[in-house]
Amino acid sequence: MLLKFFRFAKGYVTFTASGKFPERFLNAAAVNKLNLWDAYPSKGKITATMAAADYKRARHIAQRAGLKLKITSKRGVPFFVKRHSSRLGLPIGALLGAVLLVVLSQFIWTVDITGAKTVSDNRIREALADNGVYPGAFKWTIDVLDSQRAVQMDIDELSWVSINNLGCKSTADVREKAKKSDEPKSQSPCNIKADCDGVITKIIAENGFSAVEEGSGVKQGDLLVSGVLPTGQDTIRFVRAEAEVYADVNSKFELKMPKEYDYYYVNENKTNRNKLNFLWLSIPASLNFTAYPQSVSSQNRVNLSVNGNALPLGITTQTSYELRNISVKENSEKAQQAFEKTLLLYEVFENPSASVKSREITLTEDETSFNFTCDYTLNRNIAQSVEFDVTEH
Amino acid sequence: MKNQQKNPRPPMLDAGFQPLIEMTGNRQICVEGSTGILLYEPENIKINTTGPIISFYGRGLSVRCITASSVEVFGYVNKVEFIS
Repeated sequence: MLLKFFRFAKGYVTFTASGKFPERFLNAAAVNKLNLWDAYPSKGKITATMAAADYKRARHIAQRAGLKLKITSKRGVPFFVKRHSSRLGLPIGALLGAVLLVVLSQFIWTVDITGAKTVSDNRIREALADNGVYPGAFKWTIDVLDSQRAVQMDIDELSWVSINNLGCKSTADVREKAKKSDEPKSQSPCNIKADCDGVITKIIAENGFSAVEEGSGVKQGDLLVSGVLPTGQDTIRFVRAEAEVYADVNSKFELKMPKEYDYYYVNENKTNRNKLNFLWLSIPASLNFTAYPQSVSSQNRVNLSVNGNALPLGITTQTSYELRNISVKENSEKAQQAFEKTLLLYEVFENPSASVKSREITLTEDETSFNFTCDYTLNRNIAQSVEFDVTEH
Repeated sequence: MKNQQKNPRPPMLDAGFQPLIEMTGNRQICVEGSTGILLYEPENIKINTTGPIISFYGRGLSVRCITASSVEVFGYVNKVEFIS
């Protein structure tokens, strides 16, 4: 195989030697140290192959031996180059290709992120870019150790970052910090106190001595269930009071809504603009000059990939949507409907465990706005554990 | 001198200028000590050597490689003849 390669690189010719006693040519070639191979005899002639460079000498030898040589085929690199010497573009293209390959292999083409579970890839990508690891970065200027450390400092949730530059691909392998387990439940003695004013409706005491009764009114900070238990021997015992104490509590929610406001919505008009990305370069690739006075936009970047390897060549499509502005005037009825929807959200998200006993909406309005107030009576657990020092008693 | 007397040269090397013929089955023959090819046909190749003329008979015979002192013959050899 290697011999064939070298023969091809140097070039070889296949020829026929015809005349009387063609074997004389073989002998003469051997004496003159001409390397012949694949010499096959046929009637009155010999077909053989030899290096192209030796052929001139072989012709003289054949003449002396009274033979005539005729080339039947020429193969190898020298003949290929000669045949295509008029096509200057080929060697120039090959040279440019080689130069391009060498130059481009000095840059990072793609950045891959592995191991991220809760931290988004985009956030890690941004942190990597801030610290010099991005598509188009010159490979030899990246200080991997520094970048690793900086990315770990930038993103608190990461416990370990490893950046591996292999060829033109940079892979950032990350590990996230393990979440802290819930703090173990304290075993020190405590009282249950009221976290706000209210009227007790139900007491579910699991441990401790109940200091209030159903129906009694309490203020914020009042003792509800005591963690100090008297024993039969005129002594006291400290326990950790555990109880759920439900009470009717008053709550107020206020909201101010303007009577007139500007409302923006996305119109059906949109414009797509394409950009060609090559490493760090971004070249506009569409001639769309439509501009909206107010707009929002989204970007979608698609990179070419070969066999799963992303290339540093891609297209970014930026879509701009026109924003229309209208002035909305609200009347009290619509404003109240909007307020009631807001109240629902307040009840679900702000007081998810409370049940609403009563709700009273008051509306006052001035020149510019509607002022809503909602007075609630909520039934909820007001128990709050407050630890105490046993030396106080 | 004593060593040479104790260990005389093997008889093969005492053949002087006789050619060395190496055959691999009847397919490949290497003749060292050749001085030229006298006849080159697919059925018969005659090689002149420092000793006798060696004639190979068979079919599809060809010279794969030739140098000033050796010839390598390929093909199906049926008969080898020494002509002195």
